[in-house]
Amino acid sequence: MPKKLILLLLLFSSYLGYAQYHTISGFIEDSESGERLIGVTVFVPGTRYGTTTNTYGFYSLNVPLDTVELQISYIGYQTIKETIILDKDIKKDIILKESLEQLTEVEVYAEEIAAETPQMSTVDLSVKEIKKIPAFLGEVDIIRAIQLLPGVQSGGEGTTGFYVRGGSPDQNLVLLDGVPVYNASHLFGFFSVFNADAIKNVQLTKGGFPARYGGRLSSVLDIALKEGNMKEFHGEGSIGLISSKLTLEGPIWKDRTSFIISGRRTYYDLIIRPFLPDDVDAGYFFDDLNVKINHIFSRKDRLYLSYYGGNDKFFNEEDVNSLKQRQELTWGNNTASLRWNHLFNDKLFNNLTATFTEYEFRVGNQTEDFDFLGNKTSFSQDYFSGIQDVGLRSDLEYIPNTKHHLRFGASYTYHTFSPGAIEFEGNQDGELLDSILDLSAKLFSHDAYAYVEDDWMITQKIRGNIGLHYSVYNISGRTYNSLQPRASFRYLIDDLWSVKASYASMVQYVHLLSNTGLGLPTDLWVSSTEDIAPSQSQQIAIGTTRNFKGHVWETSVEAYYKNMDQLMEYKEGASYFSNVDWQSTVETGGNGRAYGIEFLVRKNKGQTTGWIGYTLAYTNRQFENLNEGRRFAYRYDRRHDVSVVVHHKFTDKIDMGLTWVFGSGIAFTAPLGKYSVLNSQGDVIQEVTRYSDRNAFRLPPYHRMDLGINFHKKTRWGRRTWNISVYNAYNRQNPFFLYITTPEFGGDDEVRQVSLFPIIPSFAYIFSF
Amino acid sequence: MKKNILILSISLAVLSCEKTIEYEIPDEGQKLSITSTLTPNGADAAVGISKYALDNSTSTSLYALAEIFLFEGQTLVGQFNPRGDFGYLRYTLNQALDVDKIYTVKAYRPGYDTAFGSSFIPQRPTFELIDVDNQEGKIEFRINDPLITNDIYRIRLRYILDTDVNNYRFTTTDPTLEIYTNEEDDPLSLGDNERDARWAYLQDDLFSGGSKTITIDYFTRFLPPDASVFLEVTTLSVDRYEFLKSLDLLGPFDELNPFAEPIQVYNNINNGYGIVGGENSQRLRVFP
Repeated sequence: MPKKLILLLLLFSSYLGYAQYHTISGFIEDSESGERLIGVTVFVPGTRYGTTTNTYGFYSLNVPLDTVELQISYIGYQTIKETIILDKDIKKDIILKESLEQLTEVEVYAEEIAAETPQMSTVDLSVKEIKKIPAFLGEVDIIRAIQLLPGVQSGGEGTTGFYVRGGSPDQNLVLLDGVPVYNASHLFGFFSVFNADAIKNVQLTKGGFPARYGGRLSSVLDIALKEGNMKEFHGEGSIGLISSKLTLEGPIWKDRTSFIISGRRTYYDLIIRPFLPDDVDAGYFFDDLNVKINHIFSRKDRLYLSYYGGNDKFFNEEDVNSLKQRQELTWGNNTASLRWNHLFNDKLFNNLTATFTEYEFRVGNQTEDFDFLGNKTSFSQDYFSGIQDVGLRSDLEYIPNTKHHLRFGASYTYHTFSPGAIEFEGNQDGELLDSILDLSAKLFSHDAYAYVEDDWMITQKIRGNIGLHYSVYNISGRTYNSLQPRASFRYLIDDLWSVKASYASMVQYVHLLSNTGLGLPTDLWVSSTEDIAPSQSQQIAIGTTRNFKGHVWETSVEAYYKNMDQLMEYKEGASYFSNVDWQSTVETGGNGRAYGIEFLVRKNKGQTTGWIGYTLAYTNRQFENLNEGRRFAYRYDRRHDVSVVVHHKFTDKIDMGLTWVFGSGIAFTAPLGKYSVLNSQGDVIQEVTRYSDRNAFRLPPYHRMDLGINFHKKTRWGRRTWNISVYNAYNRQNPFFLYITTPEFGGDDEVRQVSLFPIIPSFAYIFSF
Repeated sequence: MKKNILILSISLAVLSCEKTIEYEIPDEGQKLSITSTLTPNGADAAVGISKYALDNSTSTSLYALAEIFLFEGQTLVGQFNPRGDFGYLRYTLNQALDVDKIYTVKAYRPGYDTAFGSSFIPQRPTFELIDVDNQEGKIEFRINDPLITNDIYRIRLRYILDTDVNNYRFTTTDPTLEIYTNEEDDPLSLGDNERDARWAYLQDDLFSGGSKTITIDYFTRFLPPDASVFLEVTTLSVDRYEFLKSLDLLGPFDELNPFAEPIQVYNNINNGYGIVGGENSQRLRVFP
């Protein structure tokens, strides 16, 4: 008993801290805009005492010293060094000035500390870096940038769906200001919904998930919106070939309240309108709107309100004689969050978030007809599906001493799934008819979790992040529980070299049904049900990071193994748009395995920067009723994936970017032969195709080079940039899909390859003031 | 809906380009295909010759000449005889066969590997009509399932006009019935949880050794006035069930959709393609 007591006291004492420790804490913000900065490094050189600011720019450092020389550094900002006498706990808010040099020593320090964190498989990309990547049709895209990282693969030609370590796109949790975004694509996946001008920071976690994250198996893409300039009014925008955007930000009440509003719209529909016949109106457009307001009540309290709304709309209207017909496809997201930051004291920080998100897909057909007496008959039919969440979450951070950084919290979400309904409306001779038919009944579920994690400096060389994530999911009277342990450790070999390992158990309760894998709006979000168990995964990863030449070069190697259970897929031949409940169209209980090794070499400093990534990956699936129960390659099982990203600054006025990607061809099922059988009635001959094993063949490999060059100029009113980009610079005809067809003039069938995008030059005029 | 998708596809096609490529699809060579059904009254079969996926010069029609034999283990049971042109060359073996015994059908043709497949004839189903309402178009019946075997049933509503036997569509709200032939274009014409079917399958997982009562509905007004209507329940061997199910799924499948996962028609023939399967039917007259 005394031994246990001593052990408990020892354990507890490590959380209580020591008498000679003092805490320095505060917020770090940008000098010009007042934006709070995420991931700023605050450390004491020559020691292991250091930390980084959280999502809200807050830091807290507890050190056992009387005097410290504090160094604060952040990518793209001037480093601050300040001597502080620590005779008591100190509140220290810090203002950082942007660096005029493109890349400075600042980055070196940032990298140095990044190597120290136990967190692995995580990549932070600043919007500045993303904007260096060549644009596609004048649009810089965040998810297209993410696809260039090792371990992340694109779905195919031009698409913004992404596949992380053998997982499917629905296994990625995409958060915009902490709110899940269910469909992150515009224009069938060619653009993402994220307007880079409104984004502050992007973080992708591929494995070793901290306990604060849950609900998806493969990755977390955490995107933070800008807060809005607290000091002065600014704007930026661009005019491109198919779209334009404008962002305005500024103070509503200087240093207290700010706003940012950002909009984007394509105008393909407006361009083609003059070329359409008089009786036809057709087109396509998408638009986005981001709005954010934040208000500082006091140093301890701050409120953020953010909204995102985005829509895609395809329409076709014909007016022939007395018959008027209109077809529409619309889909889009709405998300909103209200966040309250509260600082209880220098060691305890809380963020309370209320969230709302919805995604809806709708297909509409309307017909109006007039008879010779002028009586109107109208009929409309809408198919719609969607998902809607409302939730509340509290995330707390407690930093008792230098050795521990505790995070804990809880979340509750109420999901409403509408997996498919048809709404009819008719009007004949003044008689109204309307009806709604739920092809699949609406489902409602309760989704809650609680977590605790500790970033623990175990020794000077060993640091860990250990946590537990507990989730509960209730649907139709059935409750699923899950306790998911998470752990990641870092061993520091020397100041430049660390070895890391991690384990994460994840559970996913919502799933995306897709039989194209393209991220089409027709894909259907569905829930685990009383009959369909939630998906689970376990992932282990081990890696090493080594920096060279004073951190100018950064290299890393990571190997991973992921096992996934209770996966779901459409049955063979099943389609989203059928007259049956979705549950009868899916195969469940599948298993998936993914393993591979990722290499990254990155140059962080100098006129020329960029990275080369290579991934060797394997991923497969096994379902009892697919491929006769045999394990088969996942459609996006790409053996080799290479990405090269280079940015070169010639002068302050001219810079250019280049990307080159190579990926092994995606898997497909090939026809091998044909034969005839008698039909089920035994009276008609039916010729059927004999196919290979599922996904036994590969499309030709994918490779592409994009180029972009920017010409910058300062003007009287601000700054302008001409951007010229070339997508697919050497005009590679990459395979989108293959099909077999009979030649026009007879003979044996031939294999045809369809490619989407040839070489596409584009330009954009970008301005800021 | 299809029109929308078509217009979207055309929009994409404006950007897309395509070309013929050299893609090596392996040639498995020509093989015999067999479609053979075993029943207590005998067996029939049809034989064809497969072709390479890209081959347009040869036919796979079921007119192949072959010698077809039925074995029980190593014992020859009999040889099938060609019976003439039924739109295909039909081979039959008119000989009583035992249920639950495994039979092998072998097809020989010079220049080809001998193709063969095995199956069994399941027990005859036992079922009874409980209630028939010809005015409302409702049939309630009960299947009595034997305890030991894992049985698979096919349920069809059929009518005989002159000498032709035809299927008649029905609807059901019974969730345990497997239906792959629902084609109703107007979902509003169906009630809650109601599905339409040309035929349905039922597995005895939940009532093995017990009985199962099923209700089906049908539209009386579309039946020819002189038709005799039967309810037919057939027990199927697992092979036959898997084959029929895959053919059902193939029906609405759009082979031109490049993103849909293709449907592999079930095959249990060694050195060839096709199916040998067993079935055993019983019919009960519904009216008149």
